[in-house]
Amino acid sequence: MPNLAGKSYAFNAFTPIGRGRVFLCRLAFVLIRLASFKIVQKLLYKVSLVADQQRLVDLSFIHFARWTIVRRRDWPNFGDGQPGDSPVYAYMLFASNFNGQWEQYIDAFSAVVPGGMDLIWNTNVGYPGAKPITRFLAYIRQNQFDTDYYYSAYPHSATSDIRGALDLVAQMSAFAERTESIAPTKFKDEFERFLISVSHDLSTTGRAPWADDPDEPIMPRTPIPRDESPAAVEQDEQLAVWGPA
Amino acid sequence: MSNVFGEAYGLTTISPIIDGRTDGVHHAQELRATLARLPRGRHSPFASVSGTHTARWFVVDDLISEAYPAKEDHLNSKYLVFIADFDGALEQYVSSLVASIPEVIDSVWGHCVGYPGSSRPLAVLDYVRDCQVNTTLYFGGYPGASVENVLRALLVQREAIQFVEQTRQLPSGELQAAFRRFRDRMEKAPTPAPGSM
Repeated sequence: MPNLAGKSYAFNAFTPIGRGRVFLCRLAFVLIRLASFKIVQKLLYKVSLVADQQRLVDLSFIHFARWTIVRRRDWPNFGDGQPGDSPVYAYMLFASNFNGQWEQYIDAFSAVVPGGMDLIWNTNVGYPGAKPITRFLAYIRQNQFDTDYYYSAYPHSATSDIRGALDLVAQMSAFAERTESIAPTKFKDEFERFLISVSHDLSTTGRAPWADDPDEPIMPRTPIPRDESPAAVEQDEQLAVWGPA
Repeated sequence: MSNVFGEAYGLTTISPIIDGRTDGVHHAQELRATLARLPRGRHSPFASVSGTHTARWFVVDDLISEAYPAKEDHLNSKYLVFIADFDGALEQYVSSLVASIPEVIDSVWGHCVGYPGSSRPLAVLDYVRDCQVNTTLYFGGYPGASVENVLRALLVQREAIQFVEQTRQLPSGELQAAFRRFRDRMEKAPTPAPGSM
């Protein structure tokens, strides 16, 4: 399935921004960016929007995500007989790389950061609100575009695996430095203390529990030869008349 | 504009697909078939473009109209969207694409209006800039970590679990020596191939 690369899911959605509301949409993103600054997080941690930022980080299943405002004039036109495009609405392109299943992802967004979702999508036409989840899921599903080709440099690893691995390397370097000149008799105790401190980082990676082999192409490189046997020909004729069963 | 998050650059391009057929080839259909036949995972062409965290292509046939009272909205052309997260600067990455996988980008963007072809690297960079839409808000789960950092860290993580299991019974002095050997081995180990972890 092209939306998947191992454990990673590529999500794309174009949603129309209400006419004359692009400025408000941009303002919402400016507020979100301000709320991500450390100093703001420290001072205003009780403010819902600021707390949402930390919750989003804590969700720990997003590799990369982006929101891009595509203005009406942003659809490129190179001439050469191509008809130009200037749609009725500006659009918000939301593209994300996350691990897990589609419904779980949207569900978590809706449950954990509903305020942030509302702030971002409120300027969008037809947005039903992050809660209740059913209408939000339907809205996202309706506006989703399937991916035709997807690559991830680490398809067998979830975001939390990667964060754990990076933390393990940092902690291991610090431990090695700390115990560089320690007496050999004391090393084992120190090593056990180190193991306890990094136990949450020692996850194992591997193939996803669902059926996507990231090394398999979606279609074979050469077309499969047509089956010309009488049984196959008869089946094709039946399908042509009656359609698939 | 926030195309950069930590060390990563978020590129988004929208390219118009050539309308209809040329010499019997229907461009949008052929483009989709080309994308479906590209090798994936560690055999993916992007595995040889250094610094690529993720990359994707998808075709936008038309816009999806919302229910009344929203206005119906349509596009006159079909568009190819390319989204990538990579380490470093845009110029460097586009030049890597052109140098590492020229046949692939020609076979894909060759179906798009205005694509100059990989034989003109500077023109490809201009083309990418013409099609680029700046990211409004960009978020990454592990800021500051390059693809190489991530792959090497995942290797250490995998090997560390085995190391712990194998050395559990060792006395303190031997464990210290084994740990030093382990660290040395990890430092010298080659970076795992992109797409393999």
